[in-house]
Amino acid sequence: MVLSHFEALALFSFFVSVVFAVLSKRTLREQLIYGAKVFIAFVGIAVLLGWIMLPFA
Amino acid sequence: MDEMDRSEAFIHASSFFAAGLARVISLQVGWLKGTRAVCREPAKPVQTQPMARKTTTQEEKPAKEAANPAQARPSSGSLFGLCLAAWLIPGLGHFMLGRKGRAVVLFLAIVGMFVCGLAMQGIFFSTGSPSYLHTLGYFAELSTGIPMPAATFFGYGGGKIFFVCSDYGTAFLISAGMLNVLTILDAYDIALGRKP
Repeated sequence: MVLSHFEALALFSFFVSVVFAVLSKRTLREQLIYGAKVFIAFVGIAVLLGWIMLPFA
Repeated sequence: MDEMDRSEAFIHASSFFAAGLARVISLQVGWLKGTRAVCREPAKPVQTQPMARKTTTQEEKPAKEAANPAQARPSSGSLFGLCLAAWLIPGLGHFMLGRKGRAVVLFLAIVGMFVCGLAMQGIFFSTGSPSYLHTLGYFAELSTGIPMPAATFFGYGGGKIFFVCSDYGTAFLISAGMLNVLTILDAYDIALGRKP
């Protein structure tokens, strides 16, 4: 399986956010909200850091 | 470019190792706080009826456990069995505790992540390597439980280091193991009644 950097990041973030949400929250609604937040945080921070490092590439 | 990928994969793996470590530390701190809080509480007298006859088992139990027998601490053997089951098959600990929905989601997420790591030709580390980081990586991958020896049994050759996504695959394999460690700790907490 060959993935681009972003696809690998998104897949990684998806699995980790699912596990974090299931372990941290109790109800389904809380799990969905928390999982979405963790996923967005993973992807958003990675893209932001990549954008900051762009001038040094 | 290959060095960049390697360092990126290493950062991913070490960040999740640090997250797992932080979880363990927070659990221990929470346990210590709970212990202190219990110590600060004044001892409550056990209210017994004057004519009621105490049995030997009631006298041996601490007052807190006797007041609420449902929250009695499980035996060390059952806790060990629970953690062993949770390690061998991701989610089995939650399944044994009656959290079947959670167990299925955890199993699918952790095993799915491990399978993606295999599909990306992630490397299986060994203990024979001179690098201690490789040894740590071996234990991290082994934390996934049965899936690692099962992959070897079904013919997975330990990954191809020159494959384009091999470093990502390795990060997936290690992270799956670390997530399973978090799952084991969560099952342990639930069994002890620290978590609803």
